[in-house]
Amino acid sequence: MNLRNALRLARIFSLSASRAKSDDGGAPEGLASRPVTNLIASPIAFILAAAFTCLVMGSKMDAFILQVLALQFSVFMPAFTMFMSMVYSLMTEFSKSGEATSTDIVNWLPIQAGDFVAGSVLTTLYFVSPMASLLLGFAFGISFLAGSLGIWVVGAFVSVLGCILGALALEIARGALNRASGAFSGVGGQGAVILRMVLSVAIIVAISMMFNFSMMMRVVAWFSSGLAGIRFVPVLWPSMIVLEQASGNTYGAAIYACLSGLLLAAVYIASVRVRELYWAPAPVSLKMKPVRMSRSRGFLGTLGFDSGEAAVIRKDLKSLLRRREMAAILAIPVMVLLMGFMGTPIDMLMDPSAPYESKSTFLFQCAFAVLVLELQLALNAVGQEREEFINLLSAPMDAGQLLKAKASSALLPALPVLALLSILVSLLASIDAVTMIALILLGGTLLAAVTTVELAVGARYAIFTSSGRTRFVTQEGTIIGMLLGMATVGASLSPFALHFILEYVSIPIAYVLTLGTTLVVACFGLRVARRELEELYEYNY
Amino acid sequence: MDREIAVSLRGVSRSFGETRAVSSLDLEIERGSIHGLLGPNGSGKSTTMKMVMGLLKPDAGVIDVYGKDPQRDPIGVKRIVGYVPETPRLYEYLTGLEYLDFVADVYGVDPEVKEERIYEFLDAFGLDGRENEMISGYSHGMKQKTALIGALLHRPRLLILDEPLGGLDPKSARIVKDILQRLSGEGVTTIFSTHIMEIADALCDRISVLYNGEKLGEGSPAELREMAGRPRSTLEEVFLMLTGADDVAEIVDALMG
Repeated sequence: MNLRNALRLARIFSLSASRAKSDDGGAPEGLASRPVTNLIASPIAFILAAAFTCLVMGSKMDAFILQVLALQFSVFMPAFTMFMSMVYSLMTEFSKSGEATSTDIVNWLPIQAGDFVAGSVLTTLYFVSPMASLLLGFAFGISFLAGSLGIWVVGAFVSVLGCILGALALEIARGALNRASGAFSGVGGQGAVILRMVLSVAIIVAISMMFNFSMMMRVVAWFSSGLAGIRFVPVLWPSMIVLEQASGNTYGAAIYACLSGLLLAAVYIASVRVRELYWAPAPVSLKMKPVRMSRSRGFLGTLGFDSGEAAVIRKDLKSLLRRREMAAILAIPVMVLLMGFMGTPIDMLMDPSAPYESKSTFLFQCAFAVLVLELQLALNAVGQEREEFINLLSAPMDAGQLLKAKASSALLPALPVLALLSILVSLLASIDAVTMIALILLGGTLLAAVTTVELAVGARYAIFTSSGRTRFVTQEGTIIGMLLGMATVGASLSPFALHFILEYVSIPIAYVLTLGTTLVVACFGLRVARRELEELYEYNY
Repeated sequence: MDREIAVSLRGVSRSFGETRAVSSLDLEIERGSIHGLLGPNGSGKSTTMKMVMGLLKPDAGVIDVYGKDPQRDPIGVKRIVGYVPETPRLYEYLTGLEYLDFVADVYGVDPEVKEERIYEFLDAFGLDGRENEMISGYSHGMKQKTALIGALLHRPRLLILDEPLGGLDPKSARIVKDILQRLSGEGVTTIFSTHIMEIADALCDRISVLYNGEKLGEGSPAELREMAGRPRSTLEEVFLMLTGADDVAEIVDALMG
């Protein structure tokens, strides 16, 4: 590895990432366009977090609790930073197409795979540094109050190692995805396309889970009665350094430090090797079965869609299965669902006599997964058109037709999941048919409300330019979309609070009120979404 | 016999910030004619086409497309227009056939004739046998041909083609020229922009030369030569003279020492 090359590449990657964040495809101006922003933000975040912790906690916590918290934070930090750098990269870099990232650099510039990996890792470290600084600042404040700064120093040092491990893991995931994608290139057919997507989602989920502290703890708990098995989980070795050092076992800490060093070397070598082997993606030219051109109105036609709306829906469903960018969107609800499964013992789920409350966390997580899926699909529905949006703008379709098509294509994949979830709920919670139908109706309405609100946000913050873009919606739009999604669910379900918290009304009345509120929110969202789409048509292309 | 005007622009202007892209443009295009927009980069060709299409709103002036105003009745205009932008933007995750099926459905092509029409064009453009491959694996020329077929599928009354022959091999370019001429005979009007003078010369009934958003001249290729006072010159020489770029030889001399 050539460190100078790695630093040069890191600088280029940081610049390009900073400049790729503007909404309109042009370069942002001022501080936002310069990577130096992070260098300023990180120490500020650290100082603010440390000062805040000292001021707020100093007067309220007793010394023992502070010492416990300081230890927990210091142990937790390396595992968290590892997951954080992984998720950050997953959210921002993963959807980048192979052609748009590094192929040319790898092939044409006199650099080695190791230089590229190191440059990429440095860039990830640089961009997660404000968040990591915030966490380190909180931990510093607590450790300062507890008088255990020595452990904090060890934790902080190992946290950087955690960040590097997370960033390197992503490099392996990228290579694996390219390998998986290329493997299907010669096979062709719809089956291969679906399998490619399933494999892509599985790779993202598996690697994210491997670097998720809480998930690994659950896996450990599965295989052993206590935490004795923790030493066999490599991603927890950095945290073990801190734990052993805190308990005064320097010998143990040294062993885990060696093991962590070996892990770092192994992951680095693996990521360089994987990049050498698979990074430059072979052009995938899949051959599909000939499309059947129906002369009838088709299934969507019988549902009331005109030929243009039905064409957009069919296109979007194909996009969901075929585009690699969609893997990250699909992987997030799968992760939520998986965590729900891992969090609740199967015996308890299947036991009809087990109290309903014991299953509620699992059921809540399933419902949350469906909502996240819907949120992601609706939020990205307009932006996924990219520059190809010109096809729709120049077609004889108005904003109303486009809204109908986009809302339907976002809802269609989530509705079968909702139906499956409802069947699962009826099996686990032994509920009657009427309640079941009522739940499905409410669930469907809630999904419609989330869809319309997210479509409006997605249309407003859509990124239509393709080159160098990592996402379909701006970061600002993603955050607003998530907040508004939560607000939509909260507002829609607020009448239930009258029953469960305030005990003002009976369940049937609370249900009717909830259904009414959800419908009102959905109608409001629909109007706003239509206005946003009309503005897109007014926008001068 | 009275000329039937398919497209007219009167006093049309459009600016982007401080830059004036099109300035008080007057244009009348006859039904069934092939009208070329000729001009260097940034002369306002694409902007003019997008305004006719209804994708851009003019700051001033009136546009009429077969009796319809693109701003007041955009759907009505889009229904009768076939448009190919300078760089075709196709859904790369669809196959060529799926894309054309999508376009046909969006334009409401009769399902009874859709398949036959698509395969006729695929055959004519030499894309048969490749139609079930994903567009991501297509070359630039293949994408250009697919976009052209998409613009022709719904039998438009007006074709707006922005640099339609860029990236096409000679045979495909010839096919496009023949198709445009045949469509012209059937009463289809075509507006297209090009940098290639030979094509403009051979294909266009009339040519408008645009420069810095203004129309410098308009007429048939022969009329333009007359206008420039160089009846025996090539269209390229006329173009360079009209746009004030006839000092090319001096520039080359200066560059080459």
